[in-house]
Amino acid sequence: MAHVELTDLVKEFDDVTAVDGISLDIPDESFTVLVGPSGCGKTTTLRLIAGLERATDGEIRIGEDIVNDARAYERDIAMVFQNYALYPHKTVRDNMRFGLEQHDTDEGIITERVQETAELLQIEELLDRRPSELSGGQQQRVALGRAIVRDPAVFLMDEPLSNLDAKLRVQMRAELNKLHEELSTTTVYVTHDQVEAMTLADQIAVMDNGQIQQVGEPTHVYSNPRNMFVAGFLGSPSMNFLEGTLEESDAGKFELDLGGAIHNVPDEFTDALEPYLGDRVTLGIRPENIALNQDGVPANVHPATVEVVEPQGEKTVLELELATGQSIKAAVDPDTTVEMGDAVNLRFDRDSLQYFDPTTGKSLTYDTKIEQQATI
Amino acid sequence: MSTKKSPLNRLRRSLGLDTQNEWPSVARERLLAYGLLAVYVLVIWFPIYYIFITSIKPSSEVLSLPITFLPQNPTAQNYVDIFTNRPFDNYTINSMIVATTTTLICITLGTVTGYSFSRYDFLGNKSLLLSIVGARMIPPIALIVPFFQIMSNPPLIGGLTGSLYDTRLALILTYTFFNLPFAVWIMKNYFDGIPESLDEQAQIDGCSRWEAFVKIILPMAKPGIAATAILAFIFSWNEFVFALVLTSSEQAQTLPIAVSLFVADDFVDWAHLAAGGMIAALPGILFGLFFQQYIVSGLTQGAVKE
Repeated sequence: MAHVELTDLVKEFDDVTAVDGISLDIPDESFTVLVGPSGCGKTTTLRLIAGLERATDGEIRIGEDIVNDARAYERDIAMVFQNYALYPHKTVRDNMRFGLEQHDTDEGIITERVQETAELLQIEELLDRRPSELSGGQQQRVALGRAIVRDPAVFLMDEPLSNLDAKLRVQMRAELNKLHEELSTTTVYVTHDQVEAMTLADQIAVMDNGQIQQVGEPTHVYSNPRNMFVAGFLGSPSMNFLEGTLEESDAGKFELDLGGAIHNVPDEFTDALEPYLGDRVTLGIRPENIALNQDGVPANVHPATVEVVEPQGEKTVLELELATGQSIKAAVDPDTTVEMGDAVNLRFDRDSLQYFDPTTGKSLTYDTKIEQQATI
Repeated sequence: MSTKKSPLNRLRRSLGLDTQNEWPSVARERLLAYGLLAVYVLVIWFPIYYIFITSIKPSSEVLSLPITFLPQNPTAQNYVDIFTNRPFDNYTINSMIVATTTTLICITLGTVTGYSFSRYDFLGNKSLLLSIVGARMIPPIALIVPFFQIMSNPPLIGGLTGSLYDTRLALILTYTFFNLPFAVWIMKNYFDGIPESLDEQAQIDGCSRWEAFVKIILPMAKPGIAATAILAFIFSWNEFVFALVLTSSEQAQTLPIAVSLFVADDFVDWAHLAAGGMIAALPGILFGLFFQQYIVSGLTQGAVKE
């Protein structure tokens, strides 16, 4: 068990900066997920922690030790690779034994640990098979088993579920959760799948361009994105962004002119948005926070036309065109009966509104929202 | 059902006589295919059969007409002769030593070099590999003169003088020169087909890079090593021109040369030549049969996505 601390970590490859000065504290026993689009530097970060790449600059600490100069085999870590990296010429048992043997573990302890781990993962009957005789899901379990059996200070997982089919992935996700509950080993998990990130993590670090955009509890980050990248990356379908000019009405209220339609800004954001009066501001609203209101309540309602109806089972996703010509997605109750071409009124849930600076992408209302949440 | 797999059923299916599961025209096509294959098999085996029967005929029968395709007086005398009247034991030992040593050097250097080319991104990686393999593109015959001169007057260290002419070492060095580039190339491609995450996993499991190579990657590369070994061995075993030029006596001459010695200016001793040919061919065939299972997988590794 150990916490992991990254400080100003940089990794450059020839002319590419893969990791651009990230600092991240991974608490002991936490399940931290690095999530981001491909090429964002998340896998490189993981490989830096593993000791498979050497950091160009910065500091990596595992437990109390600075491990920058330690090779992979000198760090007390276990890793699960995307392709599982099982030794094809060894049986499952020997795959699991190998790491322990390398560390000169007593034969009795090896046998016991392999047996225990195999029971934990329900792979006892597979112990004498070779990886090629296993299904994808079984290989995945063996790869996990090989990591668990070592009882390392830190688990590192590089997209371990991405090669599984959808159903198995959901099942393994639940099992990983359960395993972490049981073992409480510090885990760093890399994925590009935001659902995986949300469901597994107790700490999520959203990465882009080699930098950490935001760190926090998954639900917190989801509801309070610091910038447009985080807002757009988490959630499916992703957050709608509508750009407009911030103006002050005759009544002294702030409103966003979306190019014809007017959106009223809730009063609590007035202070935060004041410096932006007259400037372009982007409104963010998640599809699930948009309600169809066909009766029409005058305030903060936007008329729109239904363009596409996508029933997805547990929800129906609508693609709509606002009167201003901007398109927007809404996730509504599957019982909703709308058809292509219907005219509807959209109502944005006022508690879920976010405002961003369209040039820097920064959230303008993050601090206000955090303060609000603190007072509740 | 087990009956489906019986040899009779397999034969029926192969010949297209399984009227329930095959199209009617299949029987005709299958017979044609089998016919063509049979002819082809005959064509490739006939010379081997012919040299075998020649090797067990007495000299008088070899030249008599009409040709007897079944020897009338089979005898092992030719085999006894070549080992008693000629030093065929020496030739065989020479061939063995030269071919095995060359093979061992090639697979040892070939695997470590191939691994380095596959895994390490050092400066000049690609051009060095190309130049190694490219050197091998020169037709060997063009290099006979330099090889002869170098082996006759090798640049020895410390003012020593000496000659490698007519030594097994000369052949080993020459054959290694020709085979090592192939060995490096095949092994490099083979290692390319082994995911690097296995090296990394081994390191995470506690191996140094060298241990990861020896304990994990090398055992996985056996098919590639076998393919390399068989190519190097067969090349060295069969090689004729350089052996002819670089050796002159039984202390270094190999079997291909020994066999050719039965061809005199005015007379060819066919029976003994055939017996020598059989002796020369046997180890190659055995070696090939033993390793052939690895050849295809060794040579095609990484060619298709599995």
